[in-house]
This record gives sequence, C-alpha cells and structure tokens, in this order.
Amino acid sequence: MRGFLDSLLSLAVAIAVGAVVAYISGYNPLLVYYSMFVVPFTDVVYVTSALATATPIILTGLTFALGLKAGLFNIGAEGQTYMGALGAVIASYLAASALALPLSFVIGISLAVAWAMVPALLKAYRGVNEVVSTIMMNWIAYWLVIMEASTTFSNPMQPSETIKMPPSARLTPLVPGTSLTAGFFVAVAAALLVYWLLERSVIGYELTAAGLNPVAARIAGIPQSRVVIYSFLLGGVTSGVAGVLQVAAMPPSYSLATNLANVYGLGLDGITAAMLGRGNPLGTLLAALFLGLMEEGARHMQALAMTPFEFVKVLQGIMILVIAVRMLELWRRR
Amino acid sequence: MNAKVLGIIVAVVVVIIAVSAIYLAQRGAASPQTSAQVSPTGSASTSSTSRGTIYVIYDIGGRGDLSFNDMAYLGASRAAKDFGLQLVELQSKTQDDYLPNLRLAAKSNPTLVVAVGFLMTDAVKEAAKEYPNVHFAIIDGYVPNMSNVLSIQFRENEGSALVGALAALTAYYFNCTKVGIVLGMDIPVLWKFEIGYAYGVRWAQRYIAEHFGKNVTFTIYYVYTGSFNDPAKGKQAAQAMLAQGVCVIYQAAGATGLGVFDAVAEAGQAAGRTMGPPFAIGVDADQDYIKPGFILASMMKRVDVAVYRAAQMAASGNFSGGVLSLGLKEGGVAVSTLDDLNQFLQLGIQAGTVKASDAQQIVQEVQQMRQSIPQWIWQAVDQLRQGIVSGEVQVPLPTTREQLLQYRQQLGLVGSG
Repeated sequence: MRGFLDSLLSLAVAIAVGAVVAYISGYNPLLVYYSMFVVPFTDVVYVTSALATATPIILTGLTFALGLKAGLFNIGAEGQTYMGALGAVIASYLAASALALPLSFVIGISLAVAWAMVPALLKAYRGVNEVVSTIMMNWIAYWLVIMEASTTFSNPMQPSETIKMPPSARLTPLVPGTSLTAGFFVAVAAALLVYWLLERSVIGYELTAAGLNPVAARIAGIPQSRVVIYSFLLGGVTSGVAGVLQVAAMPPSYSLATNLANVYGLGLDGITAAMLGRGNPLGTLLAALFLGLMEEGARHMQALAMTPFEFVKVLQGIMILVIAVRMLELWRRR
Repeated sequence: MNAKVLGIIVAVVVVIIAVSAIYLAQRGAASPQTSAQVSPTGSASTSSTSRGTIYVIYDIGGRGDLSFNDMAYLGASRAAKDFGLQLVELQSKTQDDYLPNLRLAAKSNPTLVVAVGFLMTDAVKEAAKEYPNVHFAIIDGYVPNMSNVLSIQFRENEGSALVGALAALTAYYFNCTKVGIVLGMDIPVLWKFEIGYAYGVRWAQRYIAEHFGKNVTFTIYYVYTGSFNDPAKGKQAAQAMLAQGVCVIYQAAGATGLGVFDAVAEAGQAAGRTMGPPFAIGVDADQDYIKPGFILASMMKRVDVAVYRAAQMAASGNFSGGVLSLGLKEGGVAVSTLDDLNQFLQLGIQAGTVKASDAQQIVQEVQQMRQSIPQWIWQAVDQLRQGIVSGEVQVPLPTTREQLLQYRQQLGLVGSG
C-alpha cells in the first residue's frame, strides 16, 4: 500500500513538473494532459491501441521485475525480445500454415531463454556482473537479428521488413477496426502467473528470500546459482513471448522491421514499467498499461496540443527520475 | 526522514525546471518562428472547427530527414495556406504506429489524409477499408481498387533520362566514355530508373553527334546490389565501376547508395580533387549536400508537388481514387537545382538537423562545382526535358521482365560486378 502511495505521489510530482515544462515551452498544459489522459478513453479504437502498445511492455517489465525480486539487475529483456521476434520470423519461414504460430512460441522462447542463460550461467558460476553481461548480450542480439532480418529473412516485396507471418497463423484483431489481439490477454495472464509464482510457489519464495538478503538465503540452504538461473529463465520466457507477439499479433505488418524499429526499446520501457511498479508483477502490469496510455496519448498530443512527438518522452523521463529518487529512499531505510 | 525525502524531491524539481528553462530559452532563441507558428494554429484548432484539416502521417524518421517527410511537409504547409486548411502532422515511431495514426486522422472527418511513403501501403489499405468516406493519398505506394485512396506515383523513367543525359554529357566533357548506375533490389520500380537512365545516355550520344559531329559510344554499366540498406555493398559496387574507368555513377538504391557517394568522393579526394570527376548522381530527394562537389545533381521525386496536388483535389471537391501519375510535365520529377538545395537546407535548419554555418559552406561548394560544368550541358538537359514535356520524346517504360531485357539489349547496357 505504501509503495502504491509512493508511486502515486511521484506521479503527481512528475505531472506537476511536466505541466510547468509544457507551459514554458508554449503549449497549453491543460490541453496536453487532456489529450494524453482523457482523449484515449473517448473511443474504443484509442483504448485498444493503448492496450496493444502496453502488451510487450508488460512482458518485458516482468523480466526486470523477476530479476529485481531476486536482487538482480537483469537488463537483458531488450535482446531477449529481439531473439523472440527472430524466432517468430524463423517459424514463418519454416512453416507456411497455422503451424507457424505454435512454432513461433517454441523457437522464440527457446532463443530468448538461450540468450538469458548466458549471463545467468556467467553470474551463477563465474560471478560475472549481470548488468555488464546482459547489456553486451543485448548488443550481440541487436546486430545478429539485424543481420538475419535483412539477409536470410528479408521480404523481397518490402525491403524494410522481414517476411510476414502466414495469414492463418496470425493473431488477428478481436474487435474489427482495432489493434486489440489475444496477445494482450497472454501478457495479462503472464503477469498473473508471475505474481502467483512469486507469492505462492517455492521458487518464488527462494527468489524473494535471496533478493531480501542473499547471505541469509545461502545460509538457509538456497543456493545463489539456482536463484539466478530461475530468475533469468522465467525472465527469458516473458521477454521471448513479447518478441513473438510483436511479430505474430501486430496488425497489419505481422513482420519484424529490418532496423528492429518495432521491437527496439521495449526492454528499456519494461525497466521503466517495473520500476514504476516497484518490482511487483501486478504493479508492473498497471505501470505498463499506464505507459501504453501515455504512448497513445502522445499521438493525440501531436494532433490536439501540437506538441512535438518527443514531448511525451520528456514527461516520462521526469517521472522516472522522480521515482528513482523514491527508490533510493526505500533502500536507505533498509 | 520525511523532511529529507521532501528535500530531495524539491531539489530535483528545481534542477529540472532550471535545466528545462535554459534548454527552452536556447531553443526559443534559435527558432523563434517555429514556436510562434505553433501556438496560433494550436488555439485555432479549438476555436474554429469549420475549417478543413489536412493530416500528414510521416514515415519512421519523420521531419528532418531531408527527404520524403520534409518534402511532404513543404507541400502540405503550402496547401494548407493556399486552401485555408489546418495542417496536423503525426509522427510514426515504428510501423506499428501507421495504422493507429491513420485511424486517429480518419476519425476527425478530415479533408485529406496523406500517408508519406510506400511502407504505409498495408496500413492505408486497412484504414481505407474501415473509413470508406475519408479521402486518403499515399505517396509512392499503390493501393488498387479503392475509390477513396489516391495512389500517387512518379514517372521516374523521365527524371532518370534527364540525369542519364547529364551524366553522359558531363562524362564527354571530361573525356570519359563510361557511366554507371547502381541499383537496389531487382524489382519493377527500379527498372524504370535503369532503362530511363540508359535512354538518356543514348540521347546524349545523339546530341553530341549532332552538335559536335563526333561519334562517341558510351558504355553503360549497371548493377543490382540486391539491397536498399547496405552502404558497404553500394560502395563496393561503385568502386568496381570506378576501377573500370566509369566517371559518373547514378544511384537508385536507397541507403545502399550512400556507399556510392562515399566511393566517389574518396576516389576524387585520393586524386587530390575537391570536386568531381568522378561524380555521383543522387536520387529521390536533393542529395547534393551529402558529398558537396562530388554529387552532380539529384533526380528528385517532388513529394511536395504530389501532396499539394492531392490537397488541391480534395479541397476543391474533385477527389477521386486511383493512380495519379506525376512526371516531368506535372513537375513530379525533376533534376535538382541550387534553389532546391537551398530550400532543403532551410528545412534541415528548421528541423534542427543542419547547422546554418554548414549550410552556407555546402551551398558554396555545390555552386562552385555546378559552375565548373559548362552551360551548354545544362541547356542540353533542358532541351531533353522540353522534349519529354511536349511529348516529342517518349522515354521507354518497362513493365515486364521481357520488356526490360529487350530495352536492355536495345540500349546496350552492360552488367557489372
């Protein structure tokens, strides 16, 4: 509860600062916030668009939340999402039928988990700092996936994209004329599942214990290596799903951009969501929905308040900064 | 404890406000006209709803790309002024933004929605189906059988013929008989560039025979790199051509073509020159600024003209779906001029991607280079342009692979690499 109030307070401070910045920049703060937080709710098309934007952020947020719970800074969601998306593209290449969908999940999740396992094993058995190794893995994934997407799997008809998901394997909009697919519910289910895992299962208990006090956990018989591997493994799965869904459940492109534009930055947005949600899976879910709303709001800010496209990023940055301050405070209290 | 937290927050807030105030003060000083422009339009949107709206949905990259997006802005802002429309611009961060942006635009009952670039083809198709009463225009794309979509296409073969003539005449002036073209993927759109270019070169050959009584036979090399985003490949292809003695290379290969510019400028600089030969020729936008002095000119697709025309149709109630083909006659394609370069650089300065001091330097270098090319060459190119505009000269347009191969043989193109 305290954490929730904390988040709310940071949000209020951030919004106040954002209003000042908007005013100084010559935009009407009321119009800015109206188009950001009210307009998206005025039409089902806008609401569903916000949910679709939030979908991958929920999943990558879970990756970071799972790490945070175990006291780890898993920055690897970014690269694991790329690998998941690559998996979906490979599946589309191998199977031209509905089979491509399950195959996407199998290959995408496997690749993402494999990507997560490298830093996990390095951390568990060699003590390599996970921040450094995950960032490096992100870059390797970035260039590897760009190379694959623009060579083997490139679309001869549309050079900026990979081949498309076969039509029968696509997750199509549930409501015609919107962007809401089953992918959103997959993400919500994942958040609930991770919540249950952390709160009710033995693995979750071990992760939490190790996160609160690694030394005490080790003495109590919880090996650090197991904690690291489980945390990264589960994180790899959720990020992998995020990548797969960006290809299999995003109308109308149903493909990966060869410059990775449609997966780029999702892992970092996930970190924002998990931080806003204070590492709690349900908090992360809420925060991701909020970020999705902001992204949708940015669209309307451009149209109504005539702000530049980047302005929403300024507001996001302010919020994250304010929240980071509160996080430090929480740690100091320990 | 709580006082400390509060203290930190206040400190952060103060710092943020200070930093943003400084930033904005600087920005405001740098471009006073932009901020002044924004607020009146912003307030107008709330007060008067009777005015029509033109929406421009930008491709990834958005404003400041010194290419399609900037040109679209140029055309749309002119149209907005001339036809009393309100201009609303929407950026796209990823291709996932295309459809939501189009929907947002379509929902507000606009006069016209312009989608910039063929990458939005799928999204426009979808949005046009969902909103059959809204008028859409897509630049460089093709959405067939929809009465509410105007697909604007350019006759690149005509523009390519002009730069082909320019390439050959320039080569002749520098005692060289080899020209080349580097292309992207082997797709029908690019055949127009290849054949048009070759046609222009042969036209120049006849022109030289007529005016100077000399029978020169140009060798035309062509190569399809198979990619639009691989500058290294473009550089390699251009280097191979330069090694064979080619002195003007036209690129129609997107970002791959940036490597052509590199190769040409490097070869020129290695020979101790600050301007060509060898020369490159740019494509799509005015690319003369990329390697000033080494880029002879560019074959521009005038997206601004296209957007303006579409807006005119929509504003006057004459909008109809189908294909709008723009060539030299309509001003839809053109060889870049020094004025175009100036205008582009102004747009770049406005969007913050070009520094004013750099712009001046670039214009000077390009001007010097252009003056080193004799006037009769530019006049000859203009003569060809007039011929095409009047319909006297017909530039071949290959639509099938058989036609392509036939034209290729007729015009004597030589594969390279």
